[in-house]
Amino acid sequence: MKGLRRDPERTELRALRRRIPLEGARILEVGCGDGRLTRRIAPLARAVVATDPNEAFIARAKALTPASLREKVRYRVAAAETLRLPGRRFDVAVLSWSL
Amino acid sequence: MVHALTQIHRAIRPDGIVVDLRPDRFAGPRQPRPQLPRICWASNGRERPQGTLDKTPENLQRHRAATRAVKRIVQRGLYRLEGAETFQFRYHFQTLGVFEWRLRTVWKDSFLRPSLYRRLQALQQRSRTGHIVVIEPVRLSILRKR
Repeated sequence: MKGLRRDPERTELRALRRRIPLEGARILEVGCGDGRLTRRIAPLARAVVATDPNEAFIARAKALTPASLREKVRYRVAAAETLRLPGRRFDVAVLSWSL
Repeated sequence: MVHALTQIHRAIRPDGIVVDLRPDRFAGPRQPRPQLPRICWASNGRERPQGTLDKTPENLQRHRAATRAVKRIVQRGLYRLEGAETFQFRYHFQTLGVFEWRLRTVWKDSFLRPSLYRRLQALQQRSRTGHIVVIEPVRLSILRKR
């Protein structure tokens, strides 16, 4: 949305980086919304699977993801409760304001 | 919520990490009053507090339920709470119109008191360079898979 900036100070990313090793990690993001945080963590990660139950959000997240990150990021329409993922695959799961 | 945390437990590797990011509505389990996002008017490099963004009872109940779910899953031994911190997440709204759009479309469980709305309207009319900042305290909790 034009006229809205969310966390341009990047305090969220800085807090995450202080606490967890994102570099080279395989990350599962639950509740990614329009991919605001996904686009910030993806450059550091090895791979990101980002999920959200809202199909419109996922469509927007895909559209906003730059070409340079598309190889790393996979988006899926899914609620956390119904996630069907291969076991023991991710190093980090981020619950993005979704619990 | 407990089910979601159980599903995620299966998806992460042994010793993997779950990061729970969400508004720090209730800093302590017995805290009776919620922490609400602060609304400020920003101009000339300063943020002046104007009031809070109120939340519906449903929003507050959801936050309490999430806190309970995390507590339950830790008690079950699936995760260990390894640490937590709170930081300030800022939304910058160029105009009151953009803020209203956000309330209509995304923050449907939030509302502005009429007196605060009028104050923001007046501030916007008086200042061409200022804008609205909503500051949400966010809690980051680290859960380590056992």
